Amino acid sequence: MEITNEKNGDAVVARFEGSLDTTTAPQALSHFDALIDGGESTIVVDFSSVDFVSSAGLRVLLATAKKIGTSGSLRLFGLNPSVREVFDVSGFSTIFALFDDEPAALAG
Amino acid sequence: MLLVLALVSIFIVTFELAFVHQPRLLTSIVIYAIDAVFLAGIWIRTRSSPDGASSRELWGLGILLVGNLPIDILFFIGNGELWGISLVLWVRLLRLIRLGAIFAVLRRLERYSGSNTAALRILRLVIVVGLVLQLLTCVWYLIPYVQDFPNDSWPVIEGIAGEGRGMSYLLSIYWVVTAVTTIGFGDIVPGNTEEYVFALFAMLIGASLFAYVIATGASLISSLNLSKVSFWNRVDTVESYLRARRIDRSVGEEVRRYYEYLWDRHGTLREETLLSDLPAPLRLDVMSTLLGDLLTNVPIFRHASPALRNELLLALEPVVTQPGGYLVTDGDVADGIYFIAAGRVEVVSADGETVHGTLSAGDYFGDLTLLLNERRSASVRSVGFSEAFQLNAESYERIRSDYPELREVLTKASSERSSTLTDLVLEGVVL
Repeated sequence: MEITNEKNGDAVVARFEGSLDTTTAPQALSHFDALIDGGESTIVVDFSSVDFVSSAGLRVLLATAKKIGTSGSLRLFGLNPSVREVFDVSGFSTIFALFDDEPAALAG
Repeated sequence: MLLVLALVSIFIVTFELAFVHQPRLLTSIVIYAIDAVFLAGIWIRTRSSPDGASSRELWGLGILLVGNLPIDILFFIGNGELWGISLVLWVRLLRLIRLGAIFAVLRRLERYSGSNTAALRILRLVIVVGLVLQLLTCVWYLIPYVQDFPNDSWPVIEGIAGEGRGMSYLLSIYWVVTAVTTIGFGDIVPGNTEEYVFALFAMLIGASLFAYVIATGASLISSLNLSKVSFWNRVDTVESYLRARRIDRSVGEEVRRYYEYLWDRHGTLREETLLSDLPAPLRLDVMSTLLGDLLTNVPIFRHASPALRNELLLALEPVVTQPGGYLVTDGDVADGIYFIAAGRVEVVSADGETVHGTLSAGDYFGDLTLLLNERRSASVRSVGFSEAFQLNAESYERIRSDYPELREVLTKASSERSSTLTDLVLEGVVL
């Protein structure tokens, strides 16, 4: 999985490419940990190039959101319809801040 | 109403014939008023029936008219008598034709009454017994009366010949009841041949009536418990099968407890199969009433539109799980979403030793594995008895494409479930 960071004001945009599954989840988790440890509190994740999210991927996102806590926020945008359905039906869309596009996500 | 009127008229006609012997003004008015009601009923029925009545119907109509037309009025002319009783009262016996109408009404009521047939059968029994007693009572007193009370007749022996009609009626019905119920105290006995013959007849009728009462009672009791008997027969069959196959006794006890729970909560094995013969709209009506209480605990159901709710009602399958029983097990392929409606379940590790969390009414699980196409990584075990509704994978796919609102409904429902599921995902548990 390819992950690139892009600083935008107070926020950092992490662009994910590929699948967020059992294989790639550890890589994603350590990436998020590094960002948080580096002092980032507003993380915006670009999901537009993510085609699949498994339960391991959800776990990474939940753990990251929990780690950030109330001091910042984890914002996601560009979720494809099937990934969005998982978030909606499971109720995670109420836990994470989901946005349609990058400007909306950055604006919070 | 007609039933009561017919019974009243039959009582008056027979009582007056045997104990009054002459027509009276008040009772005549009552009789003719009842006649008027019956005639109006016949008129309405002939008007509402399609043209071209068959000869059988015409014949029936003719008999009805004979039984209801006040022909006896004609016999007031001349004050004719037969055996010391006014001819008017003899002709009024034609009203007994209404007996047929009484049983026709009862039959019709039984056909349309559904579950109330037991009450109607009791009513029929009371009417039959009452009518038989009334007719026997009247004849028992008429026999000596038409003979002008010979010295060996029972009213003379009892000293009530020519006494008030109240006492005569009371003693007559007293003898009939003691004879018919086979009690036979022997304080009133027949005194001459005619009375002996009738006493024999009354005793035979009494025995048959007694048999009829017992048979109806027995059949009523068994029919009242029909569903219970059939349910427990089924349970007994399963238990004998388990014994025959030498299944462990503790399993047998668990099976019994499961059936006891089903009977206490639902009164049947499976409502949905019981109702499978019904057309969908009717089944929906019945199911929504039957499952109403349980479904109010299912958030997906509360947020759904009426159309989606109906679709879900037909698709959701009730799952009753016994204490310690598993709803799903670790490693299962996702087969649907489970909505917990009653009781508590715990999410446990594959070996059942570690409890990851507890879910209760209003919670649901199975959505993640279904959407992510993964296998379950834990088992779900019922704490006590629990009731859940399963929306299987095929139904979910079908309803999701037919009703796009399902997704929105699930999103709303998800906000009402406990945070246990989120905590479980953090622990790496997916259901």
